[in-house]
Amino acid sequence: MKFVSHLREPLILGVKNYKQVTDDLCVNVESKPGKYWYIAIGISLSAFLIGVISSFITIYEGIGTWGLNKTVNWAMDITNFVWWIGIGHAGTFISAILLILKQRWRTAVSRTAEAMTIFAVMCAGFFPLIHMGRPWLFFYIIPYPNTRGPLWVNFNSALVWDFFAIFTYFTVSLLFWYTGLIPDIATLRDRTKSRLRRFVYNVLSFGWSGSLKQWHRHEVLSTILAGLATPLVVSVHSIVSLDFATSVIPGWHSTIFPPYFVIGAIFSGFAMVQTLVIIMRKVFKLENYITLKHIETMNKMLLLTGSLVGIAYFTEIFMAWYSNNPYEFSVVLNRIKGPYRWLYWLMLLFNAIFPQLFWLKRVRTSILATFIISILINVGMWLERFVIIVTSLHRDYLPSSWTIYIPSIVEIGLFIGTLGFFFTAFLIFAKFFPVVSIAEIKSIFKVSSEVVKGDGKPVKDNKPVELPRFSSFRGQQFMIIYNDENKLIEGLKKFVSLNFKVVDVFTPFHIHGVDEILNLKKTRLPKVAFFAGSIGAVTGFVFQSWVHALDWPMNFGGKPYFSFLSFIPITFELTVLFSALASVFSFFYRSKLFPGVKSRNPIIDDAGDKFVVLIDFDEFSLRREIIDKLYEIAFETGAIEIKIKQEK
Amino acid sequence: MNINNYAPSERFNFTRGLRIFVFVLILIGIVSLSYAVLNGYPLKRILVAIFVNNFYFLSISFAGTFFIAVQYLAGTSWYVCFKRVPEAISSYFPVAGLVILALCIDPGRIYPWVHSAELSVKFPNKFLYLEPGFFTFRTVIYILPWAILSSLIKKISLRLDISGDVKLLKHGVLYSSAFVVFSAITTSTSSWDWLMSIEPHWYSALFGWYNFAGMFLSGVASMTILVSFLKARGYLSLLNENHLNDLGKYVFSLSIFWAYLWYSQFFIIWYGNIPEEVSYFFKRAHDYEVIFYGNIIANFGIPFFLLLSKKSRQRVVYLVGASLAILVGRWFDLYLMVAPGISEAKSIPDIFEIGMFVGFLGVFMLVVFRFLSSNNLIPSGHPYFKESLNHT
Repeated sequence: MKFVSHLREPLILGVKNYKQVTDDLCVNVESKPGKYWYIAIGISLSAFLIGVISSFITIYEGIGTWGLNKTVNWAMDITNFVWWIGIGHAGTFISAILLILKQRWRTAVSRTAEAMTIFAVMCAGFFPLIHMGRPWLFFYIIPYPNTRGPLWVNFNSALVWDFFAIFTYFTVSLLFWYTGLIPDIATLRDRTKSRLRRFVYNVLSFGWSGSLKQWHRHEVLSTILAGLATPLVVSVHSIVSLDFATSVIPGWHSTIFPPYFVIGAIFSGFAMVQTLVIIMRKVFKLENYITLKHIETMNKMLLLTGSLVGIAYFTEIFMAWYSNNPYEFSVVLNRIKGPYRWLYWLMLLFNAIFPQLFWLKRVRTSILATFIISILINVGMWLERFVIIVTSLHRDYLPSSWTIYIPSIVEIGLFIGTLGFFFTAFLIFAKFFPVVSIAEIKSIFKVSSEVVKGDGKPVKDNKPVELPRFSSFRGQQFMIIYNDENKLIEGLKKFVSLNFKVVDVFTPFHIHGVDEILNLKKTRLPKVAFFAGSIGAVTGFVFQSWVHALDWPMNFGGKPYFSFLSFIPITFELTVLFSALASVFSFFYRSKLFPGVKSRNPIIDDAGDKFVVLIDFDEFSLRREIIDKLYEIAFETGAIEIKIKQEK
Repeated sequence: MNINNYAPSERFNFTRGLRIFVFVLILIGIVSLSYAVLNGYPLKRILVAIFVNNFYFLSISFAGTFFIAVQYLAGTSWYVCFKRVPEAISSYFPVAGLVILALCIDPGRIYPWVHSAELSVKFPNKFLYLEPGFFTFRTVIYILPWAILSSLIKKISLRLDISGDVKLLKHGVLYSSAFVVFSAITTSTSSWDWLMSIEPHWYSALFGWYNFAGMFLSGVASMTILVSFLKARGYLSLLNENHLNDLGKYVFSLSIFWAYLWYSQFFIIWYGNIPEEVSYFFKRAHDYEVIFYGNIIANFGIPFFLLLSKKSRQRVVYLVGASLAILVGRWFDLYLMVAPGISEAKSIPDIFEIGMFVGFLGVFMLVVFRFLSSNNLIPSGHPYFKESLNHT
């Protein structure tokens, strides 16, 4: 158990036990959704419908229905794309980077943020697709051997890197989210009375049993995925920024773009998490889990990232002036006092000025203020992308081509449609899955609320179970059930020191220290991740080099055919993709987790507070006095029950 | 031994042998300087050597304060059991600050843009911004608040360890946020002033952040070396492999962060291929090949492979190896920023430049060791001390 200074505020409020945690966090799944849920999903679905109609118009009539013109040849679609990708960044930031930084407050909001990531990336991916005009030919962007030469995609193009980055990001986020969800789905499975639900949840939980090795590998896997997702999340928005920065258009060609976009993305993502979490904690009554401290901490993050975004704005303006490059500076002036100046000033206000209010503790801890500012930041970050994209384009080098871009109703409809999809998906998710990670909350529960009251009573009699005749013990295993992790550890230590054969331990969450007590062999998942990553790197690099240097030499901006600097983004993405896929599938394979497998947990833990030690006996040690000793230790260490498991 | 009730005092012994070693280092520096003067090296080159080596240790001591400030703001506890090390590093700051102030009183001795007729015609804005008086004024504006805030933070930090007063913790947070906010802006602007302006034709928006990454990275690397050194001498026995692992993670992730910014800056300029921008890297990659590639290998390549696995991050040998590589790399990085812009410099650093580095290292070690020997190494009164010992 982690030692925590008394100076720290608790992460979970109210005295609770594991059962109460489980009940609280499952309630949104097990009870019927309220009136507000139906109203909300009604609105979201209508918005989604608008998007469907707009997509139909776009595909049927063509891109001409949008407000684009020859000078401004992409605008709102790419703005929406960048905005959605940015929103998707907070999820991975919270679950991966904060996991590596050991920020324990993340547990309450990580699930929401991860789900948000997945849906936001889906919304983002929609815009490049629909902009293709013939979205059913999207597979042209995948490099595969074809009858057109084979004509390969241009690996020097930032748009192709985008495809690889988004694809990898979506895959890894999905894997991360789902592997984290598996133990919680198993909890839902154990609780439900309905046979249909149990079947569905069992398939979805891949037969998770919470055994010692499963938890051990699960823990290592989440560290690996966090380690992979951290550079990934940085790379994705950097690559998005390269869509602009690799060009030589004033206002876009700026070296600060990659980190500036990443920070902006995390900024907007946190704002969206704030918006969702504030509503969610109210609707699902999660105030004890998502406390004011969480809101305040995230506000501090908004303050930090918002200020950095502000410094980046300042840097851009200064550099345009300092450089004495007339084109750069005219773009800046155009932003400040051109036709789109209102958007620029609103962007400055929302992104750089308003978050400064979070210096005041009163604002930081005010739910209403936070809610309003978070929504304004969401708007402001949309404006930022719009300003960057449109103001650099609409005044071309030739003043005769200067135009104004105004989005058409169809484009607005598409954007509303993605908002509708996002909220619909989120509401459905919040109905069928726990919105706060049950297992992770339990793992921080003991430390955060110092007073702990186990409600289980210790075994009253020495021998609650009538011992059967001696010979019939063969092939049977003893289950010693605890309801507290410290008692479990104490018991385990004694059993192990007396050479009892502990076969397995089943717990509702991962418990540090059990692996060491049982001397568990370390999983080789990190090695799998390393080798698969190396294979991915070599594959990506060799393939791109072969395509562009040998098979289809392409003159690209007068650069050498073998311009390996251009191959680094995709090489990196494939490294991460291979590594993540290999480690997740090895995890499933080694832990015997497949859809349809039955759980090996000998009990059905419907309260989520049972810690089971399974002890086996061989023929020689199966003696009366040893059984007595087992009961004695169980009694001493406060087990709540001892059962005999019939082996099949 | 129950570590939770363990509250001894421990003082670093600045032994005679160590003292002699440090003085020998300083002597080498003085000999190199006199060698350069007597052999008729141009004054500009000597001043540039002083500037590079001084800025090197200025960034390290700045990073010491920055590290403490970040820990205050994030409310962490893991660093508490070795917090004397970043404090010791940051105690060097006034020395470095004085030297850079002295150098920047008359920027004309180093910087090529002073009174440049070409600049005033072609780049009037740059000429305006780099007006010598304004430049010196800005140098003072950067150095003074940094020095004042860093000494305040250090003072509070030291008092906190004795009294354990939670109020002081709040003061620390206050000063730290002031320091972080101020340096968030000034690390960028000062990098433009002191380093980017050496090539007055060139500009890069990322330059400030890139240099900051290098500053922070080299600071944490020297902290790691100092922690390992103290541990090897038998101090800091409460520091366990978990602390080392996290220190290693710090070095590892900052090294990747540095590489990311390096790549971002280089890549966008390479891809855009605009002559005014490319010329900067063209010169460096062709005339300074060894240092140019050595910079990447030392700052990123070596630390990446040395610190990739958890096992190696827990071992002092790997930590020191990676940190040493980074410290060499940082020197390369600075040399690359400065030397090619000064016509008198050569593609391979001269022996006297390295000798002067050794001299500065001696002064740095003298200040750091003196600080360590005059303060209790174990901050047992700190409110987070217990939590720090139980760091997992």
